[in-house]
Amino acid sequence: MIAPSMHRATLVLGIAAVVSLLFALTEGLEQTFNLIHVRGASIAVIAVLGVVAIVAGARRLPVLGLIAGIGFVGCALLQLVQLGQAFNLLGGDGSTMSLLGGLGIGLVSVWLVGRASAHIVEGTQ
Amino acid sequence: MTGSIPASRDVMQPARLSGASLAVLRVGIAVLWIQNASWKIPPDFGAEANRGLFFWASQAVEFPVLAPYSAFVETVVLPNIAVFGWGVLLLEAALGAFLLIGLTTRFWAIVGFAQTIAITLSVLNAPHEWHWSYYLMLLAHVVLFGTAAGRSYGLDGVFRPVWYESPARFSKILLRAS
Repeated sequence: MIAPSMHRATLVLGIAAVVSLLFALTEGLEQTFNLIHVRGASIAVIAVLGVVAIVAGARRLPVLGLIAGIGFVGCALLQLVQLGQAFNLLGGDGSTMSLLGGLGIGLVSVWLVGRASAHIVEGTQ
Repeated sequence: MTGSIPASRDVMQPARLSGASLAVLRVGIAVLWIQNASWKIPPDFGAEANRGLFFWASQAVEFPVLAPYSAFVETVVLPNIAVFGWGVLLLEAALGAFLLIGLTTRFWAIVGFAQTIAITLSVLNAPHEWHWSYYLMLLAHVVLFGTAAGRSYGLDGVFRPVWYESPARFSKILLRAS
């Protein structure tokens, strides 16, 4: 059985993703306030994957959390290969890549460690 | 007399506020690195227009802080800014990502400290720079390392009990890094 703290971590990462959408409101402001560039298609990506992570954490569905994590990591890699290019599907930059990557790595690592925790519990029983 | 002595639980346990403060510091420093990843733009990182990372790296040559470092930047970094630029971009993006979620925070605090040293040696003597900006960055990373800030509302705090129980060698490394 996966520890409840893992589900909570998935939930918190999903909430963090949704909260980060506030940075979409800072577009066009000076860099003093426009700290992370969340704009264009990246808004939809973060919203959808963030909600998926919230559902995964709230309903205790680790595979759904993994899917959200893989989605975030995939989008971070997509942003990486499009940095400095004229064609920028997600409309972001290095800060967008870092945010997406952090959320994705977090969700994937929660799944990995959650699996390990289940094995440890089963092994000690 | 006994009524005036606070319960030992209240005296010995760290306040929840201190843990939350560390989490705020960690996320704040993460956002600092995340934002810094936004203006490092490949493929030339500002070399052609003398701006961006190329410009700021060249400040180490124009306004030297440490002569050997300036020589290194002039002869190795600036001629190969495309390579070093990608390295800096990925490093700072990773710093932001890992500090944001509080994963292997102690390791990344050391990396952040080292990267801040490199930045300090580049721009400390540049015009209009406030030297305490860099000293404060260094001190913030010392705090992140010394307090193992990822254990407060970060993934390190969630994962460490599992890593502790795990017989895998990699788990022991992760315990040290967190």
